[in-house]
Amino acid sequence: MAGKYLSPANRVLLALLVLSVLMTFVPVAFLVFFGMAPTIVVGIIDNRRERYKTICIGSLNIIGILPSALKMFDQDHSFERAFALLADSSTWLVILSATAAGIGIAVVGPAIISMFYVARLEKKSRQLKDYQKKLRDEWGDEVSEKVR
Amino acid sequence: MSENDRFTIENAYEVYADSLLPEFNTPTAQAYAVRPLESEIPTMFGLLCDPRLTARLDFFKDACSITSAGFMRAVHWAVVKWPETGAEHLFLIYQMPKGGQVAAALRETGAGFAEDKVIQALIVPAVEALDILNSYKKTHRSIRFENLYFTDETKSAIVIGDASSGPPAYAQAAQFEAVPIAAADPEARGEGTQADDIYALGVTILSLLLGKPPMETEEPGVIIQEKIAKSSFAALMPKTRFQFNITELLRGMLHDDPQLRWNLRDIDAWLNGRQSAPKQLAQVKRAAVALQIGTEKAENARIASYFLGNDWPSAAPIIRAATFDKWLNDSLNDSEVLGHIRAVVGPNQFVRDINTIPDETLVTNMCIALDPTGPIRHHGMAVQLAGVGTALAAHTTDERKLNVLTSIIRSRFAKNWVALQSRSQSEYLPLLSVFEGLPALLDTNNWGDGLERVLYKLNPNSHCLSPLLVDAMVFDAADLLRGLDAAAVTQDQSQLPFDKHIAAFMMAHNFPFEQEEFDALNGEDVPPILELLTALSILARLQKDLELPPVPNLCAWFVSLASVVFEQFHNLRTREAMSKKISAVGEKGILSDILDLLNDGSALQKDRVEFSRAVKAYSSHTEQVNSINKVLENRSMIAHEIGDQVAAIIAGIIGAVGSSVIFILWAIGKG
Repeated sequence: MAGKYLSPANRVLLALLVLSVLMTFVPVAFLVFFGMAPTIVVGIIDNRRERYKTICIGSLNIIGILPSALKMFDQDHSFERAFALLADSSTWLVILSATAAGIGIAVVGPAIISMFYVARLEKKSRQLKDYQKKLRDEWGDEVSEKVR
Repeated sequence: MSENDRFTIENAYEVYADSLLPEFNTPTAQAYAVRPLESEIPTMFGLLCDPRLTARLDFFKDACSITSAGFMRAVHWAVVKWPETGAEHLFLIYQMPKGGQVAAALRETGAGFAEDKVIQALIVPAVEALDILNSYKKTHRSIRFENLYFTDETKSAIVIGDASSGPPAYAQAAQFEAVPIAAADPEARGEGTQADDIYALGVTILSLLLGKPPMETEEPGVIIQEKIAKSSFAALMPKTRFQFNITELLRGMLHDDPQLRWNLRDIDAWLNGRQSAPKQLAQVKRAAVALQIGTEKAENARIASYFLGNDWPSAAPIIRAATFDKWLNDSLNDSEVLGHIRAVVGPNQFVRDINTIPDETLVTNMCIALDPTGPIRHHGMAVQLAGVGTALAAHTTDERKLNVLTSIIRSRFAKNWVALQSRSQSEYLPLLSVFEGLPALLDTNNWGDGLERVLYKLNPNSHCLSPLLVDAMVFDAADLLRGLDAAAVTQDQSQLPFDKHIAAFMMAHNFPFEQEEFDALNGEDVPPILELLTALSILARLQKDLELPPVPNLCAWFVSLASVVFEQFHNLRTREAMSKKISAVGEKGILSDILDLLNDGSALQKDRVEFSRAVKAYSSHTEQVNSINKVLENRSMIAHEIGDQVAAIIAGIIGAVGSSVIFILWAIGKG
C-alpha cells in the first residue's frame, strides 16, 4: 500500500534500508520466518479480505516465537544458534502451543462473541418493547396507531 | 284506608289518594277527597289532572280569588307526586259541594225543575258569577248539565263546577256549544267569549227544565247539522211548552249570532221583569238544489263547509268540479257567500278555473268562505283560531296532527278567517298579530324557536311538554331543574337531558338567556361534546344565577354522558382520574362544578402536547426494534461479521500484551 505513494528514489532508499536491516538481523529473521510458518500457511489459505483468522493466529504465533528470538540477542546472534533453536523441540512446543491458542480463538471465539452479541440485542429489544407497552398502557392503542 | 296513600300539601291539606269521588270527576281529571288539616273530615276534593292535556291554571288562579254563589269554590293548587304512578300531576283543590251532582239527582227522579227553581237556584247566581268573571276578562267554558252541584243537602242552590282541569270547552258536548265551537275538535275550541258561556248556560237551563240535556241521544254530527239547518233554538227546544217568559230567555241566550245573543244585561233585565225586544231567528239561505258531498246532501253554505271539512279526501275534486260552480251560482246564489269566495279564494268567476292554488289550500279557504263563523277546517281537523295552541299541546306526540296544525299556521289561513268575521275586526287583531309572526318562528327551526316555541307562545301557561319531563309538571325555572333531577331516575341516560322543548320553554318564559346561547346546538351534525357542554353550561348558569338547590341525580346524568369529554383526553390515566373526580364532584349536585371540570382547556392542551411526544417516542422505538429484528434474523452473519472481527481484535490485544510482557521480562532479566 505504502509503495503506491513513494517516489522511485525513495523506494530504492527504503529497499536499501530493509536490506541493511535484514543483513544485520538475518539470523533472527531466519528464525522468525520458520517460526511464523503456521501463520504464513494460514495467510495463504485465508481467502477473506480482512484476514481476521490470520490476525488471530499470527498474534499468538508471535508470542510463541518471541522468547526464542530474544534468546538470539542474549547469547549468540548467528545462524548456528538459529539452527540450534529450530532444532530444539522445546522451541517448537512453545511456538505451536501459542499458535494452537490462536487457532482456538479464531475457531471458537466468533461463536461465543456472536452469542453474547445476540443476547445483548435481544435484551435491548425487550427493553424497547417494555417501554412501548408502558406508553400503550398510559395512552392506549392510539399511540401506536398514529405511527406511520 | 292505607296511611301510605295519604299525604299533605304544604302542611294545610291532607290528600286521600285512595278515596276516589267519582261524582266530582271531570272528563280530564279524577277527583279525590281532601281534608283541610283544621277539619276532622274531608270537606274538600282535589282534581288530579291528566298531564297530557294543558290545564287552565291561569283561570284557576283567578278562580281562587273569586267568591261567588254561582261557582264551586276554588281553594288551592299544587303539583303533587301521585303515589300510585310516581308521576307529577297538577292537583286542583275545591270546596266540596255537599248536595251532590245535580244531573244524578234529576236522572234519578226523571223530571226537570220548575222554572222558578231554575231561576233562583242557577240563573241568578250564574249571571252574577259570569259578571264577576267578566271583570277578570275570563270565560268559564265548562257550563253544562253534568257540571252542576247542589251546594248543600237542602238542594236549594246550585254551583257550576270545575273549568280548569282541561283545555277550554274540551268536555262540552255538542248541545252545549254554538255551532262554531261544537264543530271544532274538543282540544281546539279556544277560550271563546262571554257569549259562548251564555249560550252554554242557556242549554244548561233548558237541561234543568227537561231533567236531561236536549238531543241527548243524538250524535254530535246530527246535533250540529240540526242546529245549522233549523237554528240552535229551534233544534234544541222540545215540543214541551214552557212559560212564555222563559222561552223568550232561551231564545235570546241560544241565538246563533253572538252579536244578537242576549248578554248579561239583557238577562239581568229579564230577571228584573223588564221585557227585552224579541230576537229574530237568523234565516239560513237554502240552496234550490242540494249539493252532493259523499253520502250527504248540503242544502246551505254552512252545512256544505261542514261536510267538505269532514270528507277531506273528496273535497278538492268536488270543489273543482263544474257542478260546484253551478251549485254556487245557480242553486245557492248567495251574494254574501260569493263575495267571501272572491275575497279568500280568488276573483275568478268559476272555481274550476283556479289552478294556481294547491288543493289543500283551496279546500280550507273554501270552507272558510262558505262558513266564516265556523272553525278552520284542514285535513280532517277543525280548529278555532284561538284553539290552535291547545291543539298543538294536546298532540305533541301525534306527528300527523302536528303537521296539519303547522300547515294551518304556515298557510296563513288566520288572515282569511279574521277578514271574514262579522264581529269587530279589532277584537281579533291581537290574535292575528301573533299568528302573523308564527310562520317565521316555525321556519327557523332553531333551538329556542321552531314548533316548540310556537306551542309555548300560544300556551303561555302550559307546563313544559318535553318528553324528558313526561313525569314532571314544570311551570318555571325552579321546577325545570327539579323536574330534570327527578327525570334522571327514570329516563334513558344515553340521551341529553335537554331538548328543543326545554329550550323553547325557557325562551317563552323569559328565562335569563339570549337566543344566541342555543346557537351551538343548531344544525344536523352537532358534535356530542358541544351538545353536552352547551346544555350543561345553560343549566349550570340557571342553577347558579337563581341559587337553585343541588341536583345530584341530574349531575349523575351529566356524569354518565361525560365520557364523550374524557375521550378527548389521550391519556388513559387522566381519563380514569377525571372519571373518579367527576363522580365525586357530581354527588354534590352543583352543575357548575362539573362544567368546570369538563371544560378545562389547559389540561386538554397539556394532554395533547404530551401525547404528541409519546407518539414520537413510540415511533422511534418501533424503528429501533425493527432494525434489531432485522439483525437478529441472520445470526450466522453476526458470527461471520462481528464474531470474526472481535476475535481478531481480542487475539491482537493478547498478542500485543503478551509480546510486551515477554519483552519487558527479557529486558529486566538482561538488566
